Amino acid sequence: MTSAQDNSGQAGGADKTPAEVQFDRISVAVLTASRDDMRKLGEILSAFEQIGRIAAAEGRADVPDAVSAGDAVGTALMFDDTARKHWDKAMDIFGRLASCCQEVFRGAKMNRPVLSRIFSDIREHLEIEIEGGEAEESASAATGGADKSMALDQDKELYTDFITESMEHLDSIEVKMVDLEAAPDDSETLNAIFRAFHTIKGVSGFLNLRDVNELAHRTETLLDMARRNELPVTGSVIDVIFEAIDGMKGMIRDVSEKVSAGAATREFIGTDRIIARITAVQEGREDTPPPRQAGTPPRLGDVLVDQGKITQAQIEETLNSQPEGGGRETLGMLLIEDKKVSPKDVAQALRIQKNAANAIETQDIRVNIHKLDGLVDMVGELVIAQSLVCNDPDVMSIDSQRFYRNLSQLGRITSELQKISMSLRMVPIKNTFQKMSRMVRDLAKKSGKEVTMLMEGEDTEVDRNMIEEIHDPLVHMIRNSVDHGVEKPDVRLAANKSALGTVTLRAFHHGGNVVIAVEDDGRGLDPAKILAKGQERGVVAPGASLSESEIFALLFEPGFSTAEKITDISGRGVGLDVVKRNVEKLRGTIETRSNLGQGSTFQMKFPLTLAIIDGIVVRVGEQRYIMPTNSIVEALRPPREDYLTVEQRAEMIRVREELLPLVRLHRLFSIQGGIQNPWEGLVVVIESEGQKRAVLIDELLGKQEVVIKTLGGGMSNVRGISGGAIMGDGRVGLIIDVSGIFEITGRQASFN
Amino acid sequence: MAERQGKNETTGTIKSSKFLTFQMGDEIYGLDILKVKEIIGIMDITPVPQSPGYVKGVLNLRGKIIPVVDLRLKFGFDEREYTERTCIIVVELDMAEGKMLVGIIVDAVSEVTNISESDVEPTPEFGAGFSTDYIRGMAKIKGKVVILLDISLVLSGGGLGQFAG
Repeated sequence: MTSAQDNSGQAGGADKTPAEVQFDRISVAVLTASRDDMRKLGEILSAFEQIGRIAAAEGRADVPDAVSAGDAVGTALMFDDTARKHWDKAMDIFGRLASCCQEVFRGAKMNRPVLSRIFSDIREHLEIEIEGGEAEESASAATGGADKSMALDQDKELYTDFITESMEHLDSIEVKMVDLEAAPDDSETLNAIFRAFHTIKGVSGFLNLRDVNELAHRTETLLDMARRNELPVTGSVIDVIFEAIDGMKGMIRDVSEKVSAGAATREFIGTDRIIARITAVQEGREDTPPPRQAGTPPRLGDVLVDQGKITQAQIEETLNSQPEGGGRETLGMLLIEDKKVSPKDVAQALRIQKNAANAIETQDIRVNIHKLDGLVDMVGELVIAQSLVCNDPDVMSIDSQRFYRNLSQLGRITSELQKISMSLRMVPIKNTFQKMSRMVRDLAKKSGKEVTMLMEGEDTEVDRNMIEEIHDPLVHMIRNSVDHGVEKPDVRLAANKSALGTVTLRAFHHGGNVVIAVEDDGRGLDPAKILAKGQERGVVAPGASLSESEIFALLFEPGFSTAEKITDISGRGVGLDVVKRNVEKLRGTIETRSNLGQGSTFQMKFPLTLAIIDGIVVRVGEQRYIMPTNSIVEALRPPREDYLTVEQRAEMIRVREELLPLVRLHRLFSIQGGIQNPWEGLVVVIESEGQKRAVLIDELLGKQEVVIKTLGGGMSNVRGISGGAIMGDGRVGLIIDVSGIFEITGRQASFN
Repeated sequence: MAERQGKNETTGTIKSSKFLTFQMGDEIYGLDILKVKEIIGIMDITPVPQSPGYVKGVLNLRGKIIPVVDLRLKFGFDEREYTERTCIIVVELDMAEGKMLVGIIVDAVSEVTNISESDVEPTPEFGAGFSTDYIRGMAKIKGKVVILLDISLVLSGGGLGQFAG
């Protein structure tokens, strides 16, 4: 609660506009609301809610108190007739709460005395029970004390914020580390990493998380030396920083566990080993043990050594004394038998090991896709039903305060529900890509190659379920590219290529599909070799002639591997058939392209079953269609003289200096009653792959975000239509597939 | 699977089971109740361009978009104004790509009735040019003839695969 102490973590500077918009909404509503105006009250409530959300997103820990007070007052007004007697007073309080918050958003800190005065006003004048106020002040006083233990119960929110924030920082550090390795002299990158560690150090120090703080501090010192050119950024420096990142992540997960479980007393995974390594690197000693493979849980022995329960030598002794061929017992059992550690210690270590292994975001749960689909569908229906009810003329004529109150409450809940359900599904693929960049680095290192990873279209939004399903195939593909595709530096140089190989991850939307491509500039695939292998394995009849794509398809047969040597990264031949199965499960396809000696591309294409697009709703005759906003250039009504024909057949519209072929949507889709003359209707200029068309429609109806749905069995391949969406009135609107329109009209547009 | 083998085994495949009967003009048809998901009244249908005429379009079945076929048009009857009695029977079909829902528009739904094997006669041959592959048999109930349809075959024979036109 005492943000004044926390000057390292949040440097402000966030965009204030969305919050200001909400403050404006409140002021306007407060000023204009007449007594018992439930709609205005609903407006105020939703604005407070938004502010709360923005504050949470920007990490302003001070605001929620004020927001929840506002919410409490608003709710009381809505449902409690006695509270409504003090309407004007309540409006005044809304205004004061809002200006309190507004100051925080403008960079000041929360004025606690003012806020508690507002709180006491609420209690006295409105007789509404609210939480917070005085209690907060005493709590904030306690935080300043020299309390050494982790006082988790003090403020869960601060810790939660810290956890998310520092995890984000660590993730971004990981990505930047890969950059740093590529360009060790880049002071920009170095500074960025330094700053991120510095932030973690600051916040963790403030929160009394000493182990995290210590480790962050040590790493920061190391980086500082590098910054001042006192230490060259060598491979071992980078390794040790990666280790520190892993260590910190482990500790932060621990904190997160404690926070969610209340206060627990478990020890952190020891930092001593990592710190010792950092010191060693700082002093220029590089005789460090090989780093642990990223993503694998620590070995039991390591955990025990970290905890100081046993020494490395003792473990080795035990392992060596193991009878020949008796390798069935686990290390833990052996150690207990040798009486080197107590069973309790082993159990504890095992738990730590297990936690590290499944330490992916503990708050997440996996939900059956069908359930999620059902939920999203139903929420969509709910929203439509709600708007049907609200706009029903009979309903509009009801004259009842109570009714409008409840209706506005219903509206808030449904829109909130819709937002949540939408956000449940769509996520940018960025995160997945970033994880891959770390993996590429590790893989390259392991196989003695130099590989850099490029990302394109990482902001492409993909269905969350899709992302989960894409992850494993993508890992396989990338492993494949790094391990088999990209050659060793000497081979590359001999082939006149730069020693540094490139793996490119690309994501984009294409004609209602999500396409994810893994491209490498390695040795490429040799069709002859694959065919020979196929014949050898009996998959292909001897002498059969196959097309190149058929040959490449063999790669995805179970147990098919072209690698001459099996490595522990990939090449056991159990990869690509699994990839294919996973992709097909998503009703996707894989396309392989390759140029021998120049590289290969694996392109996975998935149908966009449930993506949201921003669309413009247009009317043609009595039909409505949705055009994806991103392919629309402009909409205009051309003057009579800008309509031109060639040989009275091919039609064109002149838009400024450009001549665009005219597409009559009513003719293309055989719609009755559409406007015939372009100068009486509207033309929408659409663009795809650098080409433009002017599409004739009757009118624009508005802008809308819609959920793309497939048209159901057998209808998913209609040309010019990429899918459907449920419109506000419950009917189905068809989504126009712009590239499909270009395909259909391709011939006639070339003017023969 | 047995259904797919068509009329030769028709009488053999129809064990005593429940059928939903509906009217099309003066004729009565029946389809296996197990295929029927639900029956809804006529509702707004969005026409889909570039699809065959008997495909009336798509509709919103509680958030799911499903295609709708007008059985009159599919059977080559005259088109008729939809009335209060017009119904959409939503059937679930097992297709190669998985289960899918299709709505079929019929004049009126009559009843659910038990039809036992002994009520069913094989479809007579009507000569060349009249395919009866999708008719499982003719049942005689209370003096009326019910034409039993294999709805999957009705919709797939020259049907759903070509929806896209």
